[in-house]
This record gives sequence, C-alpha cells and structure tokens, in this order.
Amino acid sequence: MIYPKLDRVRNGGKMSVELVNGLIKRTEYAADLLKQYKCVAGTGINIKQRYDGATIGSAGKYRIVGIASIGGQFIGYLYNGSTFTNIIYPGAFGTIPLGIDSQNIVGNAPPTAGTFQGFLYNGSTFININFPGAGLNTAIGIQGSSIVGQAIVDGVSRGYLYNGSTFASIFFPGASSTNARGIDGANIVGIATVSGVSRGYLYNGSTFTSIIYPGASLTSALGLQGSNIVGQATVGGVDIGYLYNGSTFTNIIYPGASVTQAFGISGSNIVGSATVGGVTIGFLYNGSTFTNIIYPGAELTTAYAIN
Amino acid sequence: MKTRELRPINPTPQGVGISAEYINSIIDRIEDLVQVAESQKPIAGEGINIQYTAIGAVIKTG
Repeated sequence: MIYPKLDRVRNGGKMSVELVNGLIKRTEYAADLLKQYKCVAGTGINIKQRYDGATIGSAGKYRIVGIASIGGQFIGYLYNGSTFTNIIYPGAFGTIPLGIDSQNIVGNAPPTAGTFQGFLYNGSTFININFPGAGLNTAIGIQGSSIVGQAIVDGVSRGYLYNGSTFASIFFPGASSTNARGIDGANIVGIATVSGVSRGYLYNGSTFTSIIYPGASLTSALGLQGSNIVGQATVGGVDIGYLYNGSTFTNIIYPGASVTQAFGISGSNIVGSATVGGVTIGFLYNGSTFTNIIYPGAELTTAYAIN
Repeated sequence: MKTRELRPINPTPQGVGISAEYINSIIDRIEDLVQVAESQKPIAGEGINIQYTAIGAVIKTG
C-alpha cells in the first residue's frame, strides 16, 4: 500500500505515536516495493539470485567446466551446450578447471606429475594462485574476486579464501584436514575430516555448520548457490549425489550409475559425473532430466562447475 | 544510498530521548530506502515481457 512521503520534523519536535506509525508504514511500503520488484524467472529466462544482485539471462545459456581424459592426459574444457573449447595451461602436465564465474575460471595445473598449482584463467591469461609456503595448491571455487581452495602446508591440508591479495586460512574445528570447494557471498562449503571421517561443512565467515547426509559414512559439500548445496554421500557403500536445501536432502542418482557425484549448481541446473558400466561421464541435471556431457573421443569426462 | 547506517540508541535513567535531529536521520534513511526500492523496478527491454505479480516481477521472453 502506498504511504505518502514523510515530512521532516522541526527543531524541538518530539516522537509521537502518529510519527512512529508513519515511520512504520513508510518502511512497510519500501518492503512491499522490494517484494514486488523481486525478479522471478518466466518462460525462456534464467535468473540467478546473488548477494550482489540478480543475474538475468536466457534459459539454456550456460557455461560448464570440467576435464576429459584422452590417452591418459587430462584436458580442461569449457562447454556451452554445443561446443567444447579446450583449456590448457601452457607447459603443464595437465589442466583441471574446477570453478567458473562469468569469464573467470579457476583450477589446478600440475607443472609435473604429482604436483598441484592453482590458477585463475580470465579467458586469455593464466595467473598462478599459490598459498604461501604450500607444497600443493588447488583453486576450486570462485565468485567475483573471491577464490576458495585447498593448500597443503607442512603436510596439513587447509581451506583458504583468497581476495586477490590476501589468503585467509579455513580450518574446521578439530579437523585433521580441511578444504574449501565453493563460495557464494559470505558462505563457503567444503570438506573436513574429523576423527578420520569426512563431512561437509558450511562456513559463513564466523560459524561452521556440519553437513552430514543421514546414515552416510562419508559426506562431501562440493558446491552451493543461495541456500542450496550439492555434494556426494556414501550410503551403504554406494556413492550418490545430493541436493540439500538447508533442511532436506534430495538424492541425485544418474540412472544405472554405480557412482554419482554432484559438483556444481547454478539456478536449477546441477552438474556432476556418473560412472556407468565402468565409464565416467559428465552430466547436466535440471531437476528432472539428465543430459550427458561427453567430450568427443575421451575415455573419461567430468563436469565440475556451471555458471 | 545517500544516508549512512543508523546508529542504535541507548536508554538513559530518564528513559529514551530522541532528538529532532535523530528523528530526521531516521526519516531520511527511510526515504532513501524508498527511493532505492522504487529504482529497483525491472523495466522490460526489447524482446522481454514483465508481469508484476504478488510473488514478484515475472520476466518472460517475447
């Protein structure tokens, strides 16, 4: 309901019931406007609500990153639903893109076998992202100028948040190992190993919340957007993907797969990998249908992130 | 936003006293909020149709 603009009070004016009610009604008017102007996706539109605004695009337009193995060599790729574009760090033993936000892609590129070096790729240039003093580095998730990942220093794995100039370590309390996999606004998800058992976690910058799939022996939290988290759980010895909305777990199981992993989420789209008949393929799942992502000629394809 | 975040007030033994200046700070802040809210209205561009509903502005192609 429209409520007229408030008049400023004169010097010596006091707070009255009428004035308080005016403040309340004018505030509620602003709240109504914000509710009314919230963007909702209709036909042909995809809307991604972010902490810094709403990204509006055409439905069906997406960018997926992952890896393909050809002759035992890992090749990074960017896939738009019809075309694969290779992502290859010059001179690296392999290139593994793990996260994407707009034009920016993060991942790791081992200089030699058995090593890991994080990178940020903006579509034309690779920049190394290496935690100071770390023996192994992986950049895994990105949003805006914030990058999360994993670094191993003196044999101990930690998660990190990198803002473009400074690294902040992320240690899950009591964990022997922590990594950070995904970021959305102030929220970060990852994996922590406590007493030898892996669990997912959500970290809001001050508090850690464990994410444990009911009855699972292992749970991983691998990607998030808003209140939705995707990951993997091992239940009865079987690896399944899941979507967790903060209260309920929904299984994501590729038909006929012995292993399903859900790595990334954007809007209603989830990407991951499935192992069927001993062959691992990538998939895009829109909540009802799985679409295969198979790099031409590859013996293995995995889809890690979607934007 | 033109205005700054409002600071909380503290009670005194005499109760809560708010000056006219502070009341005007609240009013300015709310008017600022209204202005921002009004400016967030989605406007349909070429090839886009927008319907304003109770759940928000539904954006469609065409």
